[in-house]
Amino acid sequence: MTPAEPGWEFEPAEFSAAGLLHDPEPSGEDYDADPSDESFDERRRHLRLVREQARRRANGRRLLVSAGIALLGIFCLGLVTFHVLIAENQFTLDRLTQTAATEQASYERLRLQVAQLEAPARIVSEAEGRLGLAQPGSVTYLPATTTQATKGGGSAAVGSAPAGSVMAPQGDADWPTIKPYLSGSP
Amino acid sequence: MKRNIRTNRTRNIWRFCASLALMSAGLGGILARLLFVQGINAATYQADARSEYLHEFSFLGERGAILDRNGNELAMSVPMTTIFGDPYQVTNPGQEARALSVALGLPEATLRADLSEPSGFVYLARTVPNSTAAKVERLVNDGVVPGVYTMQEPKRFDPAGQLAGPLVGIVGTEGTGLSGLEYEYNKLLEGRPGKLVEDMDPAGGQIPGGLQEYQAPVRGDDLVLSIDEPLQYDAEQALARAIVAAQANSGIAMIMDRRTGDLLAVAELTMPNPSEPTTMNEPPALPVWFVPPGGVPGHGESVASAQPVEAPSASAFTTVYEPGSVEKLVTVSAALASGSVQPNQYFDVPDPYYVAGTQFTDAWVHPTLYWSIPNIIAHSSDIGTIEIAQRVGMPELLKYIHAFGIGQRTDVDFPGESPGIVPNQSQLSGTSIATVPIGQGIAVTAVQMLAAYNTIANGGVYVAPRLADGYIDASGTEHLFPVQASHRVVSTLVAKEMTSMLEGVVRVGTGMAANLEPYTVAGKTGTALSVLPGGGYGNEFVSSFAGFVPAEDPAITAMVVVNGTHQYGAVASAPVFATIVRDALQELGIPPHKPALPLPGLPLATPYYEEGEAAGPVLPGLSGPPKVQVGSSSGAAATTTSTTSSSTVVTTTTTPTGTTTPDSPTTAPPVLASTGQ
Repeated sequence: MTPAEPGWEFEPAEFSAAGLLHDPEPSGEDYDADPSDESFDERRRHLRLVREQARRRANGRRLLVSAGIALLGIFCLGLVTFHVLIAENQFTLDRLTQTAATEQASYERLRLQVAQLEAPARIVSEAEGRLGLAQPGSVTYLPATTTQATKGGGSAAVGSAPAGSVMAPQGDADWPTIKPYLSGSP
Repeated sequence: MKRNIRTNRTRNIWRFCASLALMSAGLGGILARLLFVQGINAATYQADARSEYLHEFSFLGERGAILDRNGNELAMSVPMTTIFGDPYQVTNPGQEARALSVALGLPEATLRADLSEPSGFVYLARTVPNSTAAKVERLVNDGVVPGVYTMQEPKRFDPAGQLAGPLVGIVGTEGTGLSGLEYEYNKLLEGRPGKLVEDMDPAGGQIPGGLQEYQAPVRGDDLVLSIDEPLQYDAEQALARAIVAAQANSGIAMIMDRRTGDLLAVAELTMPNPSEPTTMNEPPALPVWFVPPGGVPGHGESVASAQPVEAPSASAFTTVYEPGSVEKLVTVSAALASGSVQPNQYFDVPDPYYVAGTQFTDAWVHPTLYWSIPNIIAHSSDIGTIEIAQRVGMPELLKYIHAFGIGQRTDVDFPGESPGIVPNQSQLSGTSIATVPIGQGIAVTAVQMLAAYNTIANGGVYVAPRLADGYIDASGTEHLFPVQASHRVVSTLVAKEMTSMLEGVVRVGTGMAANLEPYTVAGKTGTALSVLPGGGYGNEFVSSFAGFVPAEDPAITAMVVVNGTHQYGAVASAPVFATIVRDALQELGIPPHKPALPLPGLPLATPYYEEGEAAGPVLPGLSGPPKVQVGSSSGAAATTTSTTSSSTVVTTTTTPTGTTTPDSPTTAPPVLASTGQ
């Protein structure tokens, strides 16, 4: 293709990239061209010297574009991979959620079983039915010793006495007089 | 020719115009419709379209548990499998119904009808057991039942069976509380429902890439009650036996922590009653066994034919009754606190006694007695109490009735709780001063009366009863409900004096059946005639006993009410009180205490047949012979009695006005415990 051909457009950047603008020698076709021709001047006007720095810049730009395209490709691939990973993890998460729900339901069922086993009615039933234990008809209270009374907050009577009797407070001289009125019943 | 051409042209123009007009009109119509559909009414059509492809499924949030004070579950929800179907996707209802019928154990015809319904959703079986769910899931996975699905739904369970049923209440199939605490704390317990919103095609399949939003349901909080499960069981067991033994209709037994007001047990049982259909189908609260006459405990007991069941509602909070003599605690406390009477004051107690022309008698016939306030309380003299109340006056008495918490709701937060019925000044009659002080013409709930006794146990400070302590949120943190402020009703001294008098009731008075040596019990019996639904009184009693233990340093307050019996409170309720209180003391690890010394100046109650405190020796620390003697307002003679024997008494009496009455022998009632006070 020659510059004279129709549709040809002179792009300094392309020439610069191709290194043509460094050649000061005109081409043979240029010699053949008629200098009086207006288009000749037009073409000549676009030709200029390109410095090495500009060439490098153009090269760098091209490299940058290539790298950008490569990065874009990598990004797209990464995006797809990331999407796949998200989908995979979503499935894993769904599975885990499902497992957690199942385990939670299982825990609740076990908790119910424990509560049913610990119900007082069931314990009494087991004790009386299976183990043969019996409820006492009455409760007999044994008197606490001094040591036990102290351990128990010092509220119990002092010394030993027959079961069911009320003990006198220590040092209460009037106790024998009071006692019949407190513990006696007709 | 030229004219023809013009005519044709004109006609063509007209045709063109007509066609244009028609087309314009058509297009205009389409445009208008377009504007209407896409613009003016767009939202409606959009919503219609959305409803066609957007499907929303709701999931119930798991309901929180109801726990006792130790964390034992009284009610809890467990996820169970629910089977549902989409009849639009069902290909062969008959065949699928047959397969499901075997797995679910339901009639094939019912399932076929369900699967043939013109609907996109039908429940086939809700919250089925796991074994059944497994069978159905196998059918679903094998593709035998297209259009049939399973999902998880919470189901409510009561692990302890019917225990505390009237308190806990019931939950409907949609997970909403319908009665009891389930209803009252529904918002707290129910949590938040979850939902799934997704785009679906007409066949019910999910549209790929369509909308899918899932919002997980949030579990409700756990409600923590003040109830103690073992104590509740013991109370129900004792009450069931008491109801059968007293041939009663129903009963209430309550235990309360004196210090905090926490209700540790609220047992509510009733005999099966056709007017309460729910009670007819319930299993018995527990089998009540009886030892046959001459039999040995543990061998050959027979089970009672009719067994009490859990009551349909918690009448301890919702139903009022005339309390009878247990009300005397309030009357005497008011009298002492207001200074209307002195603790060592003596009263002539005639029988009968007239107020506003109406005759009042004690439950047993007796000559005029000369009694101290402790004896009036111990033997539950209505006339003595009326005399005391007359010194207080109705306005002051009403003030104290309200201060004891009667006439207002407590802090239990129970649905339908009654404030009780206390007459106001305008509703009083001439006999009100005689009826209200002895627990007639006034209506209370059992929990109000329990709180009144707890006030005395608590040194005169009213503590509101509580049923719910707090709740536990999803993070496991427990939050306590705010506590109602307590208030002082009577002084500590009056509370001590009342305690001493109530001890006398159990020691020598009508409440001897509640004796629990070596523990010291303070309490009071009460018997009132049951009120008929149409008004007036029936011939059955509401028998009660309320008190606290150990009297020296009360830990628990309790009350037993047996309704619809022919036995007095002393017989029907006092022994049950002793049983449940004994179990509670053991459960709470409270040892017997050293008995408190008598209060200086306060006479001790004496057995009825000993006839009067003046007969006995002066006890150390007491005020000696009474300084104040008050004549009867009815003009009956005051009588000072002296004990000469254990059964018959010869008295020499002098009234304050100087009149002397002849000695008259008195005889004790044959059975003191059944005198019905």
